Amino acid sequence: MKNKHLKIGSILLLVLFLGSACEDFLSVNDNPNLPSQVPPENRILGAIRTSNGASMWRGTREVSAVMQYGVTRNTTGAFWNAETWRFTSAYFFWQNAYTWALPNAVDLIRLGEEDGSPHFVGVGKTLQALNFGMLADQFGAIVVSDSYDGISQVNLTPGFDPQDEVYETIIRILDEAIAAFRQAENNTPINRTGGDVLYQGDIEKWERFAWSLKARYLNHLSKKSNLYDPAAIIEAATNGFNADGMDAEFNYSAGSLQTEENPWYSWGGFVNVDNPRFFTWSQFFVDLLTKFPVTENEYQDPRISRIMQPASSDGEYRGLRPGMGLAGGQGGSGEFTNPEDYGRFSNSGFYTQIDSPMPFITYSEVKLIEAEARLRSGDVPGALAAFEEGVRANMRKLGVAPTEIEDYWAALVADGVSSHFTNLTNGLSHIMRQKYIALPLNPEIWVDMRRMDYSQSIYGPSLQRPANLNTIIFSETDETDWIRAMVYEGNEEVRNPNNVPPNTPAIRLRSRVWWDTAE
Amino acid sequence: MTDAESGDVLTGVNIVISGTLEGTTTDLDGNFELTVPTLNETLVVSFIGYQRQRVAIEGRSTLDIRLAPELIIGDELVITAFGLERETKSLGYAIQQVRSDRIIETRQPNIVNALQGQVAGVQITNSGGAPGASSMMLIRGGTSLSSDNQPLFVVDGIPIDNSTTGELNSPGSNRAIDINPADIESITILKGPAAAALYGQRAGSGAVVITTRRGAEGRAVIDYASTVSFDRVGNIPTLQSRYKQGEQGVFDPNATGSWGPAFQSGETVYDNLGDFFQTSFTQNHDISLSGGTANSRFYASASVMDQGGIVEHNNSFNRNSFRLTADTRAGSNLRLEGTASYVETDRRYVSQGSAGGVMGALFWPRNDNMRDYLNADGTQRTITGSDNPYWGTINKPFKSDVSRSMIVGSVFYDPFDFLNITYRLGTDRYTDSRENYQATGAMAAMGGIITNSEINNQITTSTLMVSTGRTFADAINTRLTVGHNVEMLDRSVMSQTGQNFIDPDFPNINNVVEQDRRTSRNETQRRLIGAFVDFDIDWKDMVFLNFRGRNDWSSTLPVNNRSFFYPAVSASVVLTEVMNELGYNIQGPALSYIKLRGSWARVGKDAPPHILANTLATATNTFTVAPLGFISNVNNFYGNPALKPEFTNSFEFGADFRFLDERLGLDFSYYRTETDEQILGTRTPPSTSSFLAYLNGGSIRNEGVEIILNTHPVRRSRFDWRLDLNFAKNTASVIDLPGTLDRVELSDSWAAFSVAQGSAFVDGPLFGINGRVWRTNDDGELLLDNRGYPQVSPVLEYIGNREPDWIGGMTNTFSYQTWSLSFTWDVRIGGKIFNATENALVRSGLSTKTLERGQTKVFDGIIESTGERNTQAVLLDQDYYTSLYALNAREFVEDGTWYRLRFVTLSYAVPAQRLANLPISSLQFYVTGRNLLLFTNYSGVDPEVSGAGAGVGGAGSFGFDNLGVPATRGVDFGLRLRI
Repeated sequence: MKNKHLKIGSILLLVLFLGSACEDFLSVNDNPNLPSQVPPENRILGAIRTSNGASMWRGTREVSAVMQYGVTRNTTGAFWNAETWRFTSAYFFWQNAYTWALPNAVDLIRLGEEDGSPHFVGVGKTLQALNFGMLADQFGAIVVSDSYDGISQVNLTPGFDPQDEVYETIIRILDEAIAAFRQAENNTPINRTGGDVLYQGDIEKWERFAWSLKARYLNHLSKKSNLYDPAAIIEAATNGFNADGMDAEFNYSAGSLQTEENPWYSWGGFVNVDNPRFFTWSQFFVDLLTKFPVTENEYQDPRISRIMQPASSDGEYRGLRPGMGLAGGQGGSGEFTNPEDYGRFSNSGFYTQIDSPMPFITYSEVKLIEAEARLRSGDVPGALAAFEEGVRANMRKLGVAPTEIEDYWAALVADGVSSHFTNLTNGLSHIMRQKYIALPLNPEIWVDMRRMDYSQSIYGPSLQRPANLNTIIFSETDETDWIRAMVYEGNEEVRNPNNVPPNTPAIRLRSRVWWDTAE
Repeated sequence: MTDAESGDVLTGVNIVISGTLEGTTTDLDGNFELTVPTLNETLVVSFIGYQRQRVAIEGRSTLDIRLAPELIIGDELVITAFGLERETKSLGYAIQQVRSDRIIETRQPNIVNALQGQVAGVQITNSGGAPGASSMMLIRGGTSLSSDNQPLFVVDGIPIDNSTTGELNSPGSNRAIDINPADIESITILKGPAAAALYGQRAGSGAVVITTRRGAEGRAVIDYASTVSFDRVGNIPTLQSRYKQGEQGVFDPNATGSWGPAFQSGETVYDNLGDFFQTSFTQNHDISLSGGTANSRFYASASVMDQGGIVEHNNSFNRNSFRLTADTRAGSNLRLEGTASYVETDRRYVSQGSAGGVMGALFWPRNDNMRDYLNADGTQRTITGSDNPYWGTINKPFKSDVSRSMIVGSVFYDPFDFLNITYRLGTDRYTDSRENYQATGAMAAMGGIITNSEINNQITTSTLMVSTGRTFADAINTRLTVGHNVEMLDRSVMSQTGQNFIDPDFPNINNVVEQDRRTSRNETQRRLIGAFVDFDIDWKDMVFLNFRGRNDWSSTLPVNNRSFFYPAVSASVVLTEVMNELGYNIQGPALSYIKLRGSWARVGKDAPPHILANTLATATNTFTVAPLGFISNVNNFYGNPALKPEFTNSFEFGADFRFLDERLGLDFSYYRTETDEQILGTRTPPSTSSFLAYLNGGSIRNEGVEIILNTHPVRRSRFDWRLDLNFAKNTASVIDLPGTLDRVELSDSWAAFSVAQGSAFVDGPLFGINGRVWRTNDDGELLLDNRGYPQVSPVLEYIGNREPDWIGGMTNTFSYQTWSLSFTWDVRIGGKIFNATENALVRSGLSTKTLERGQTKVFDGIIESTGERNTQAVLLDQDYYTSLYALNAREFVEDGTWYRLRFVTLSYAVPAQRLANLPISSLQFYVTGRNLLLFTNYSGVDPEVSGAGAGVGGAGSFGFDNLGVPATRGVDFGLRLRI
C-alpha cells in the first residue's frame, strides 16, 4: 500500500513539474528575424528614400505621361494607356504613398517624441505633409484623420477627409514641423548615423524645406480668391530656400541593388531592357526648350543639351506627340518615324541618369512660386526679380556655363520678358513654362497645368490633348476637356467601399479637385 | 486463435481483460498466454479485419477462440488519438480506416495520393505530373480563409510536418511524401473536430493517423517487393495548326506569337508540345525483415525508389528510406517501444506557370522546331522572348534534397492492474537543401543567378497519458485518460542568392563577385502545451458516451489570451443490441446491425507565430526604391497584439446499418461546422498603411453528407467480390468577413498573367475564383467602347466555385482462387477549373479559340459613351484576342467533372504448394494501371490540377490549370515475395 502511494505521489509530482515552467517555455513569440522598433536615427534614411522613390516616384510615373514629358514608342500597352488617359483603378500611387512611405514618416514623429528629439519630429512631419499634399493634389479627398498613427490597431474602414480640410492639416503639420526644428533641446542629432541624405543634419535647411513646402501648398490655392494669400506665400518663400545647394534631393546611385538607381534610368523606367516606359521626350517639351513664351520666337535653351540627347541620325532635338507613338513621327507630323531620329528618354540627361536625383522641391521652384505670388499681388519688379533668380538658379544647377546663362537671359529680355510681366497671363506663361523646364518629371507640374487649365495662352500652341485619347470618357471635340484627377486605387475601392468617393473613371478623371475650382 | 472460416492461425490478435488495460497478443502460431486475476474474467478479443468477440473464461485455463472475419469494413479497432485504440462501434463520429493492401495497390509514391477515391469526404488534388508534385488534401471542405486547411498528419503517435514550401512557379513537394507507403500498416482518417479534438488545434481540419508496421512474434520473415513503372503524358491541349508565326496576319520570323498567315499546304507543322514529353521509367524496391520473441518484436525496412519524369531533364524524384521499429517487455508491467526512420528524398524539378517554364511550347509557333534550342555559337535559341523549354529544363533546374529523421520512443507502464501510464517522446526533423539556378543566358537573368537555401524544420512532441478503467455492476464500463502534451516547432530558412556568374559555365555562388551575393535568414518558433481528458463510459458495450476536453497554452497568442479550453461530447448506440437486450429482437439476416451516433465538438486554434507586433524591414520590391535602412515592414502582416484564439464548432450525426447477412453495409453522416472569429490574415485597404493584417473576424460554414456503402455480393471460397462505394457532398461558404471586405484574395494562387486567382467571397463560396471580367452595367449588359469592343473591368469579380458538387469513389475487389483484381473509380462532379493554360494559348495565338480571327462580330451591349445599343461590327483580330478576350476570365472557366479509373491492379499469388520446394513462403505478381481512363468534358490536360501546389493556404490553388507538367498515366509491373 505504501508503494502504491509512492507511485501515485511521484506521478502527481511529475504532472506538476510539467505544468510549471510554462511561462518561460512559451515566451518565444517575439519576432526573431526582424525588430519591431529601432531608434529614429536608423529610420530617417528609409523615411526619406521611400517618400521619394516610392511615393513621389509612383505619383509621377504615369503622371509624367499626363504632363507630356515622355512619349511611348507603341500605340498599345499600359504606358500608352496612361499617355492617352485610359486610367483605371489600377493606378498605384495611392498604396505607394500610404504603405511604403507614410508610416515611416509617422514613426519618425512618434520616435522623435519618445526620444526627446524634436528634430526627428520635424523631419517626420515635413515628409508627412509632403505625402498628404501629393495625394490630395491627385485625388482630392484622402485619408488623413484615420490614417496610420503608429499606435492604434489597424482600422479596416478609414474615413476620407475633404481636401480643404486636408490642406488645413498640411499647413498645420508644416507649422508644427517648423516649430519642432526651432527647438533647441534635441537629444539625438538626426544625422547621427548618416541617415539625413538631404541635409546631413543641417536643421536650418530642413526648416527652409518645410517653409518651401508651405509656400508651394499655399500657392496651390490660386483659384480660391478668398483663400489665396500672396503675402503669406511670399513670407513662406522668403523663409524657404534662399540659395543654391539647398534643394530637397539626394542622388540615386549605382549600388548593389538595381533599386538603388534612379528609377527612370532602370528599374522603374523599363519593363525589360528592350522595352522602356518612355521612348523619347515629347515634342511639347522640345518646343518649350526651343521657343520663348508669348512670342513663340525660336531660341534654343542651353538646358536642352543637359536634359535631352539629340537624334543620332542628324543631331537634331525632336519629340513625339503623345498617343501616336513612333509611327506618328515628330510632334505627330508623320515625319521622322525612324528610331534614330530621336534621342532616348532614359539615360539621356540630367534627370534620367543612374544617379540623377528626383528633387522634392528646389530653390528654383521656390523662387518661381514667389514670382507668381508677387505677380498676382501686382509687384511686377519683385516678380521679375524672383523669376530671374529662379531661372538662373536652375541653369546653374544644370551646369550651364555663365556665359550661356547671360546670353539666354539677354535674349529673354530682348524678347520682351519685362513687358510681358505687366500682363498676368503673359507673366504666368513665362513662370509656368520655366517651372515646366526647371522641374521635369515632378508631379507638381501637373498641379500647375490644372491651375492654368492647360491653357495654350500659358503653355503655347504646342500643348494639345493627346492623340487617340480616351473618348469613352473625354469629349472627342471639346479641346478644353482635360484630365483633372486620378482614379482611386481598386484595392481601396473594394476593401473600403463605404468611404471611397464615387470612383468610376468617367467621374474621377473629369472631377476637379478642390483647389481646381473657384471658391 | 484461428480464423473461424478458413481455420488459419491468426497472429497478432489483441486479447484484453475486459474492463482493464491488461492484455497480450497472439504469437506466430496463434497462441497466447495471459495471467488473469480470476478465472471469472471476460476477455475481449480483437483483430483488424475480424469481428470483435467477448469471451467469458468461465473457469477454463485453455481457450480455443475462433474469430469470424469481418464481412464488411466497419467494426474494427481504430486509433482515435495518441495511440488510443477504440472499436468503431463505440465512436460517436465518422472515422475511416484504410489498410495497407489498399494503399500499396495504388502504387502511388505520395502517400496522400494513395488515399484518392478511397475515403468519403476527402478531396485530394495532385498538382500535376511532375515527379514529387505536391498533393493537397481537404477533409470536409475548409475551415480557414487564409491558413492551411489540410489535416494534421500523425505517424506513430507524433505529429509530423506535411508542409509544402516553394514559389508559385516552383511549388515543392508536400512533405508527407517522405513516408514510405510500404512501411504503413494502416491509415485512419479522423474527419472532424470531434474525432480530432484530442490532438488539439492542429487537427481542427481533421487528422491522418498513420500506424507503421510492427514485427510479430515467431520466425523472422523477409518481405521483398519490386515495381517497375512506365508513365506517359496523359493528355495535352489541342493547339491550332492553321496559322503560323507573325503579327496581324503577316509572317514575321521575329514575332513571338502565331498571328501570322495560314500555313501553306506542304509546310511542316511541328508538334512542339507533344514532342517535348517522353515516356518515363520508375523503379521501386522495398525490403523488410521482421520477427520477434514472446517479449520483443522488431521490424526493419529499406526502400529505394527512383522515379523519372515525362520531361527529359531535371524531372525526377528519388527516395531512399530506412526504418527500424522494436518493442520489448521489461518485466511484467513495463513495455518499451521505439521506432526510427531515416529518409533521403531528392527531387529535381523545373519552373512552371509562365512562358519561360516547362510549358513554353504553348507559346512556340508551330512553323519552327522548338527542339533546336541552341544557336551555332552555343547560346540559347529562342523565338518567343522567353526561354526555350528544352534549354530551360536543362539550364534552370530546381533541386530539393531532403534528409529526414523521425524518431519515437514510448514507454508503457502499468503500475497497477487498473492504471496504465504511457509516455511518448518523438521528433520529426528534416533539412531541405535547395538550389535553383538559371544559367548565363536565361531570359530573366542574362548574367545567371543561383539561390541556395537550407530549411531546417523540427517538430518535437512529448505526450504523457495516464489511463484507468473500471467496470461497475458488470454492465457499466468506464475508462478515463488524462494527458499532457507539449509540442515544439522550430524552423529556420537560410537563403543565399548570387547573380552574374563570372565564368558562365560554373553554377556556384562562389562564382559571382561579392557585391552580387545576398543572404537572408528567417526563423520560426512555436510552443504549445496541452492538457486533456478523455472519458468513456458504456453500458454493456452497446451504449457509449465519450467526453473530451482539452486546454491549450500557446506561445503565439498574447499572454492574456494564450490559454483556451475546448470540449467535445459524443455518443453511440448499437440499436440492434440494445433492442435485443430489452427483449425486442429486431436482428435478423435481413437487418443485422443498426448503430446511431452523434457528436458535438469545439476546437480552438492559435495564431501563426510572430505576428502580434509590427516589424521593420530593409527590403521592398522591384517597383520601389531600396530604402537602405529600416522601414515599416508592409510586406508582413500588420501586427495585432489583441488576437484571440479562433474556435470551430461542429456537430455531426450518423448511422450505420448492415443488411443481408452482413453483405451490405450502409454508413451515413451529416455534419455541420462553423468557424467564427477566425484568425484571418487578410488584405486591407492601402490607406491603413499596410497590405495585410491579422484580425479576428469572419465566419465559415461547412455542411455536408457522406455515404459509405460496403457490399460483399459474392462470398464463396473460390470467388469473392467486394464492392465499396463512397459519396460525399460538402458546401463550404463564407458567412461573414470583417469590416466591409467582400472577399479574401489569395495572391499565392494567381494564375499566369494575373487573370484569375482563388478567393473566398462573403455570402458565397470559400473556394471561389476571382477573375478579370468585361465591364457591364447593373443589368449585366456589356458596356462597349465607341468602336463596339468590350472593355476590361478594373475590378475583379466572382466567376466560379471550384468546390465540387460531390465527390465519390468506387472500389471493386474480385478474387478468384489466388487471382485478384481490384480497381477504383474516382468521381468528381462539378467544381470549376480556371484554364490558364488555354488563356496562355489565346495570347500566343495557338488556341483553337482564336480560329475565328479575321471574322467580325457585333457584341450585344451598350455603347458606354452614348448609352445606345451597339450595332457596329468589330474585327476579331490579334489585338482583340490578346488584350480583350484573354482578359475575360469567364471564357476560361470550365466544368471540372471527371470520372476516372484511378487504378486497376491485377495480382496473382503463386499457390503455396508450388512454392514448397523453394525457400519462399509466398510469391505474388501484379500489374497496375494508373489513371488509365479519364472521362471529362474539361478541355485541358486534366481537371485534377493545382496551379501553385498544395502550399497555398485558405482556399488553395486547386482548380487552377496553370501551365504545369501535365498529369500522366502509367503502368506498373511488380512482384512481392516473402521468405
